[in-house]
Amino acid sequence: MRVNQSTAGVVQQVQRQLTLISYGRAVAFGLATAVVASFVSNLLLPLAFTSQPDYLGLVAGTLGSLAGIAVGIFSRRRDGVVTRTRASLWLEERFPSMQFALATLTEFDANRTREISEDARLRLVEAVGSLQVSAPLRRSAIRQLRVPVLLAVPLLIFSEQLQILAMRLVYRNSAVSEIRFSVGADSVAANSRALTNWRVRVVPPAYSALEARNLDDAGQVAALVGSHIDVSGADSELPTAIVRSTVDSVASATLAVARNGASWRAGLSMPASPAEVRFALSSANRQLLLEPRADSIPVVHLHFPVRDSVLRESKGVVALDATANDDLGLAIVNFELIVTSGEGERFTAKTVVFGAQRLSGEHDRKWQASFILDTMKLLAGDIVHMRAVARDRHPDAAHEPGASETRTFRIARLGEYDSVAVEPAPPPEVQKSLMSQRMLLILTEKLAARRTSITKDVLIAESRKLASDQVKLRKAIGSLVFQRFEGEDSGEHAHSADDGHDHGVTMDQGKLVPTLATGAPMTDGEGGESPIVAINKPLLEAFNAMWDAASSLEIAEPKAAISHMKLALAAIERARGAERIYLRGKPPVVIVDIGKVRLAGKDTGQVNSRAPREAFSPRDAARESRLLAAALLLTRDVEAGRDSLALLRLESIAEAPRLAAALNDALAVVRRGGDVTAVLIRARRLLGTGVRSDSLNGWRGR
Amino acid sequence: MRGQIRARVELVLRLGALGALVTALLLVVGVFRAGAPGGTPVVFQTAPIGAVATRTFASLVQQSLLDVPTTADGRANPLRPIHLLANAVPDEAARALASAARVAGLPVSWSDSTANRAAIAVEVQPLIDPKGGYTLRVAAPGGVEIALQDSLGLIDSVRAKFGGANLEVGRVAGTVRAVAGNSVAASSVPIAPALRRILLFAEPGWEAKFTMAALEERGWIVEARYALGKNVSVTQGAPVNPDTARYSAVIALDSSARAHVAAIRRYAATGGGVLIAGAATTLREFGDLLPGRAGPRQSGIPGALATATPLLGLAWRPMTPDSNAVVLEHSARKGTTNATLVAKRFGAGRVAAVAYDGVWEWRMAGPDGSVDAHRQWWSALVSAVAFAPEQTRDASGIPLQWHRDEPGRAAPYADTHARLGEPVAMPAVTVRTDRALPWELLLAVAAVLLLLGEWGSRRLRGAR
Amino acid sequence: MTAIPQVGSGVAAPFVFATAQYESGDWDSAPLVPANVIDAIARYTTIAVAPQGIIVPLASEEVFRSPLLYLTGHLPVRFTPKESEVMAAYVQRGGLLFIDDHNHDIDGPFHQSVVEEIRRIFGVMTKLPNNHELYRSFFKFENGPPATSHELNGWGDNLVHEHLQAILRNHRIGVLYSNKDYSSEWSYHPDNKRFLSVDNTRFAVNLVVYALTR
Repeated sequence: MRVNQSTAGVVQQVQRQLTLISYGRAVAFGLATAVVASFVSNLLLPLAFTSQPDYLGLVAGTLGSLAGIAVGIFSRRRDGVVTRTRASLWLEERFPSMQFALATLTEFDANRTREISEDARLRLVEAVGSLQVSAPLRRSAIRQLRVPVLLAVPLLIFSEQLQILAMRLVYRNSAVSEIRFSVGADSVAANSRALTNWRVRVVPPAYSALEARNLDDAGQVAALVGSHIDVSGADSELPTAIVRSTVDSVASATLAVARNGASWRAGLSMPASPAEVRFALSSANRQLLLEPRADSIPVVHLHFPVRDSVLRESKGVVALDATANDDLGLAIVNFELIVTSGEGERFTAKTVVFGAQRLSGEHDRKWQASFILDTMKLLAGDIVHMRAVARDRHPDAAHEPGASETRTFRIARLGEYDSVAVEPAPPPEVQKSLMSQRMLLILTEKLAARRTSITKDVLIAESRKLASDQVKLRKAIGSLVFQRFEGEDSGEHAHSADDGHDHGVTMDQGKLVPTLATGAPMTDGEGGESPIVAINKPLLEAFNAMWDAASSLEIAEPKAAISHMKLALAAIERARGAERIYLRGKPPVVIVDIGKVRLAGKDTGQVNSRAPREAFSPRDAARESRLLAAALLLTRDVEAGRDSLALLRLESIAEAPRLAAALNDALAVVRRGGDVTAVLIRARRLLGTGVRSDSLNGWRGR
Repeated sequence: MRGQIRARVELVLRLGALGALVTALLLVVGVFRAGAPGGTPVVFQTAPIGAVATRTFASLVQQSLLDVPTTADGRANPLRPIHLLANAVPDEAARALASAARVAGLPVSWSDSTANRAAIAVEVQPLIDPKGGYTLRVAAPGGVEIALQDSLGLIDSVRAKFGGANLEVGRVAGTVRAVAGNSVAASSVPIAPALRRILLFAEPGWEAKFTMAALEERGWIVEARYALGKNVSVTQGAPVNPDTARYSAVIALDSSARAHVAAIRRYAATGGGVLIAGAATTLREFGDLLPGRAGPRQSGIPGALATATPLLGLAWRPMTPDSNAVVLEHSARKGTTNATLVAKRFGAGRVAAVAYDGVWEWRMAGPDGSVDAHRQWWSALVSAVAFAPEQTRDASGIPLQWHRDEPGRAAPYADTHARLGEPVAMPAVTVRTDRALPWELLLAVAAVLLLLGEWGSRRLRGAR
Repeated sequence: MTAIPQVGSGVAAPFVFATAQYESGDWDSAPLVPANVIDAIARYTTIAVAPQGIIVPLASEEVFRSPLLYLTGHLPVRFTPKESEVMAAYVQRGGLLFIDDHNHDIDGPFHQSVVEEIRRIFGVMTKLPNNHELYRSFFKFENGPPATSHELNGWGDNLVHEHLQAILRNHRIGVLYSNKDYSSEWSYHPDNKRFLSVDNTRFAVNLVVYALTR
């Protein structure tokens, strides 16, 4: 006789339910463990790695889930498989009145090899009676599931908050900043967008002889103006493309996109000013920034003749020697002469080009030519202007050539030679000091470079030696200044600052300061002698700069002296240059009697109004707003924020190169995924904001 | 039978664990401290995470108010005071609660354990400049590093040196917070002031040209009339007599201001800003309007214009400040204590005198960046004296309302002082000698062990 | 000779007329122009002006002390690298460079070379409209720049050049180029002005007033 079907069904039902409950426990424990493991790993991982790549959070979650699954499985194994026998025993525990009748029945039923008598069976069935198992099952389920569910549900609900708590705990000690990246989510989202994996091919203009380049997946292209840029993508649909100049933000043009088999392709030429191409396909869009590089003009130097000259007669051969250099290659080099004749108001000019050489794209070239003066039929007073010219291979005829500086040879006028020496004037006294000052500068620079490898005593001794040389030189310059004021050479009646004469300068703590009012030209009295302002002011500056240099050298600070020595050298150069005007002779001097003519004119002017100037550089304020907007965008949408930063960088290259460099650093940090806060602060500072002082003094004029 | 005994033992273990846990909690809460003298304060320590601490503090305040034990003779003990041990400045709610408790009669005292790094205060001042912007001013002890933030994130960080630091920024969003370690001070952004025009008195010349250019390029509206001859002039704008309704500042560069001295004095007395520079500093007609006496004109140091200190290359008239004047800038020349920029109050207004003459040479002959520096300098001079009242209405005439901050937000440390009085030394807290052992900890450990034992026993016998 | 108003009694420093001296060409071809311009300023305005002009080398930093600079010549002009650098900085900072072709033509060596040099340093010049405020900054010139006698007499290229050309910076003239030959027009001793029925240096007053007030 078989077990009552309903009894068997009940045992089966209990078996199923208990199995379900054990699965439920396993899953709940597993989930709780997963969340906790994820939390712990988020807490620990940033301590192990200095920069956290996007996927690490994903790895932490995965590991946590695996741990949870392992715990679940372990929990299931510990619970054991729920067999029918176990189910029946479970029922026996709850219904002791059965006195193991059910267990016995179930066992016999399971093990067919054993038989019991019908009578025994009937008694067993009677003993079992009818069973109501729903209540005990419910109680058992509650008891078994309450702990794991009470653990798992809150942990799941607050799992995100736990991750945030982990981040907060890790970053607790740094200054709170809202510019942080959300790890993982954006990179996952990016992979699902269209317009990825496009190819950019750059073909430079033919004349440049540069090779074509392939840039995979580039967001920015820097190339020569006129280069052909080919963008191709693997999307099945055709995107739209708009080109917009970043200089003139109003103008924009549509770029044609054509199908190319299973992909698409668009081509354009690199414009002369920076531009942005925006491709859009369904909801995705992507930016390609165009950064043009201009073809620079050749750099040309005329080495011979070395200087201008005046010739007695138009005879002889003039040799010319020049070098040229170009970044992309030279095409033609030649020499150019302009011969001017005439005087007073009438001049004629004739241009001659000679010595031309065609080149095949060399980057450097040295060439010579010569011309015979006799054949040029020059007259007295004519002037020959010479220069070397080089063109590169740019096809546009309007592209500027490179030219050297001009030398002039003048044919002396009749009678001129008698009264004026035509050889170039000997170098003025000041030129001798030029060699010394330059040598002093070189020696000082060498000493500054050796500073770390020599002892302090040696440094002091050498520095003081240079200081005394500098002082000697300064005294020589000083006496030169006073000679100029009085027009006498050095000798018996030498002048100096404290000789009791009013020279118009006073010594103020070692420096010479003029006592005359500015605005009045520093003429030195009647007689129409040459204005001395052009020579003496630079010498005064050289004198004062040498004082500063000597002071620094005295205290063994050669590095601090270098800038002052360079200033002195530059001032001496200017004095030397100004000297040259006096080779030509003096211009006539007419002094207006202001008092006599004041308001003597018949006509009167009219009242008129002035147009105000426009406020300058409003672009900094606009750039700052855009920078802040991009920073905010980075926290929400990394791709869009990065695009905004890239565009701002491109538009700032010409006007704000330092900002562009800082934004370049920010983009590099964004690409590798990291904390971009410090770089963005630096960029914000460069926009002229962040003028700071380390006190509470309210005066802002620094 | 054995199983039943075992089950009972396990029950006892469970109950014992529960009892130990509850006792430990009660000990922590302090229910068993009935024997403590009434004057012994409850010590509360500020913790970094403000929100949690405030709730605990609030419950302590409540408990202290309710817990009024009686003495042996039946009289009520005085209220148990609360003592705040401040490692960090208490947050807004805690400070408000403490001061309310004091008013309610609860003695509240505090000790300052912030190691002198918490005393910070922040203020946001709008720049008196057409380009706008703000000065963020932070007062803090020397050497403290302060991070300045707005709603968009970190603006910059400054290090306080002489009592604080200033930072000028162009844009600020929302509230500005200054954070130094655990101390936070906050200030909302005020409404920008109403800027008016500038009136320039000058003869046609390079100084007038470049001064006007610098100010206009900076965004100021400048009005002037250059006299060129009999009834001939060039006007910029529609210059009228100086009046605070129209002009934020008046600038006088030379003797062309002589005929308007009385009007300029009236203007300054009623709140206007006056800047006197160049040859105008020698006009005796200005009288006591000038904040200092100008000495004889001296030339600049030749060559200095091209260096990093270009102002040394300008001609100047060394200023000797009056007794009631402030020196804003001294000359950088060695060996002289004379001032180059002096200012003072005149009536309701401000007057500044500039010693330099021919400042335009700095723009033309200075080092790289001198054009911008020249603009900034002139604009800063004007800002220093300008009459720029707070705007009360916007462009369409609607009154503006500025929500003023609670004073405590901008200077939380000072607010703590104000509400709780001066800090005192940590009071001697009587320690219960019969509680040499940390009972709470022992009881908690005992609870855990009992639970473990109960669970182990249950599992070993096969029960769930 | 009347003294220059001394600085120190509240008076602004006087305006000093500066002529540029450059390396190539004949920079000093119009030595009487400065005095004539100074005379015109004193004659019609109350602007404090120095009685004598100065010469400043174009390659030196001295040019920055003269925010209005006059440059002329007949011969080809090639600015040295230093001169180019100084000129570019000069105009960028707010100086005004007035260049006048002493030849009065459009294919002469000065014109061609200086236009090329200006283009190299500053870019392409634009025609200054004849209603520009330069032409009403003191005297009113209804038809733009006044013609010179050389233009009208047919010297040079027989053309009357109707416009001046300019490089503008922030809507202000930075470089003003003329091939109307004002250098010839103004090259006479100021005492001879009494023989002219119409003073032909009045435009110089407009130029100086524009430079000083705009």
